[in-house]
Amino acid sequence: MPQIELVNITKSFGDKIVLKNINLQVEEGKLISLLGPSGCGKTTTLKIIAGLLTPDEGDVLFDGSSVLKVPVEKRGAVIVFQDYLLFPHLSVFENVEFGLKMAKVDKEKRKEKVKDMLRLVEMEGYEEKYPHELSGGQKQRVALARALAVEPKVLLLDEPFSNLDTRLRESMRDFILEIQKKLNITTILVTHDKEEALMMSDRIALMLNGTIKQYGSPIELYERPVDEEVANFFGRRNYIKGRIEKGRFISDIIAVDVENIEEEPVKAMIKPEDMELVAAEDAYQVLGTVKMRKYAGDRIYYTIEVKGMDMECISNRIFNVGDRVGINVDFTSAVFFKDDNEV
Amino acid sequence: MARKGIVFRIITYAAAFLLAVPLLVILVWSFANNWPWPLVFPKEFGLRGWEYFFSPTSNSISILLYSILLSLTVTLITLLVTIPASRALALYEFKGKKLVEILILAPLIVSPVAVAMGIHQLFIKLRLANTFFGVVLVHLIPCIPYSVRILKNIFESVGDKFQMQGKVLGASPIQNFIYVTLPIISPGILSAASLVFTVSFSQYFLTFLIGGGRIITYPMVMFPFVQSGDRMLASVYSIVFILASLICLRSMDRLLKKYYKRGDYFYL
Repeated sequence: MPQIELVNITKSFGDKIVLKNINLQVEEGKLISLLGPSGCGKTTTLKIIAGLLTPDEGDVLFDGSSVLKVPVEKRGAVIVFQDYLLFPHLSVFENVEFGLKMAKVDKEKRKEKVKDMLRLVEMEGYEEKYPHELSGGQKQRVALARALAVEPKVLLLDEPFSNLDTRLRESMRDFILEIQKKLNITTILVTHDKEEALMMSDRIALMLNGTIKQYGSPIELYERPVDEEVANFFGRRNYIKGRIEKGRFISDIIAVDVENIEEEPVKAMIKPEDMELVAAEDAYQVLGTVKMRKYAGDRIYYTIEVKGMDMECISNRIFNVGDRVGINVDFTSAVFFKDDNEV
Repeated sequence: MARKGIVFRIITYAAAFLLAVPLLVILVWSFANNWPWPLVFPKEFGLRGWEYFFSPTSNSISILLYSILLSLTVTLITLLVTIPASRALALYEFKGKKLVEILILAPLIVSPVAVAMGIHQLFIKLRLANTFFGVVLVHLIPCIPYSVRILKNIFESVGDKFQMQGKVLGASPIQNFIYVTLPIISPGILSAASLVFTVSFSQYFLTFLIGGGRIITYPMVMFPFVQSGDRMLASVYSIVFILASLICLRSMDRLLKKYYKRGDYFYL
């Protein structure tokens, strides 16, 4: 039985529909991500799970029973907000102690628990500091300790890394992941950062315009997107129009053997990293001209013009704009979509 | 840079001078038997003013304490009423919000003195005229708009995000109010309380009318001396007036700080 379950959640603000028929199941101890651009409804979903918002329709189940009637403070779903929201008038110790004090846990136990939590987030010795004396990363650790201190059923993280600089972000990612695994706490992470979602999650729910487009493991979403929208969310993609004939994909620029595809007009989606650039004389498939180059150090982004079509490629070989190059297309991870715009 | 420093200093000293001189004059007057023009310093000094003030016949001390009690009551009630009102005005959308706001702030535009007669009639019918509580009530009219203006701004800048955080951490609405909302808005409460206290403490006309001479506050005993030109006594009363206000404000500040360790790190 999934620990957290959303059933047909619908929510609108005024006449703007924010969530349409959201269904989601989260297994105990897993970390899942709600991934999507801003305004797709992911934070609203988080607030509905926590109880800060009530859905117009649908149900929220914890361990199989509805929690819609359970008020926020009794629900046991703690949000760590984007800006941490440490109480400015309380010290680090008092901040972490806050939830326990509200639950009227006795003083000695509170002290013990706060100590444990601060040890867990490696913030021992900061008990008497105040939030304004802490750095961004430290604030986040305290916010995390404060949330974990109340032993929530589910931990909800709202864009937890967006206020941190790149290097700190990477180390905090590992850090949170480590704690999540150690405590085996069910966690829902809201993010717009695809890399963050891919690297941290057991499963990702990709949200676009108030619906969950696809829910699956990071590899499933990246390698086997259900449609072009999902595919495009993870980066630029190449689409080659063609048709399937007798186990062969045939298009203007390439023809290859493929298996188990119905004979119909299709589009083959190829990721830029599956397009290998080679010197023109080594090419056996496709020839093109370098139209644009963006140098990013460990990789180089190319736009290659092939028979009037622009192909996006990633390579670490250096070519110049105007060079003739060959492309070896790796079709093993190609995804075929039905081509709806067929004439 | 140096020139800028000098200019800044001159302005600072000038401002301090302008503030201090009237106070100094009052202080000197309170010990001067008379101080005719064109003398720069008075010739005769005496303690008549202070003796009168502290003498049991003048009843000044008890009136002062009564007045402080009245203004503190007004301050407390104003805060009790305006904290929830300001929060609602700042954070919620509801029908007729603009109208409510205009009504609350109306006394800042139309002085309550203008409608005092009507209020008096009404209070007589309600048997509130000539009572302590009646005076407290009428003081609320000029006090509430100031408090609402300050607190509403504070609630707007803080928002309800800390309340949300408190809630998800398990705080009930009451706990949330005591442990989160109050301490976070405490600097605003202090400024509102200071202003309200001062406004109430210096009310003359409203107290006079509604109190009907039964409720005697400090400005009411002070005013005749100012008017009749007994400058020595008027100065003594003025000095006490200023000191009493300062002491009250300072103790409110202390009290609040004791409960909520304040700092300038609010409103991040």
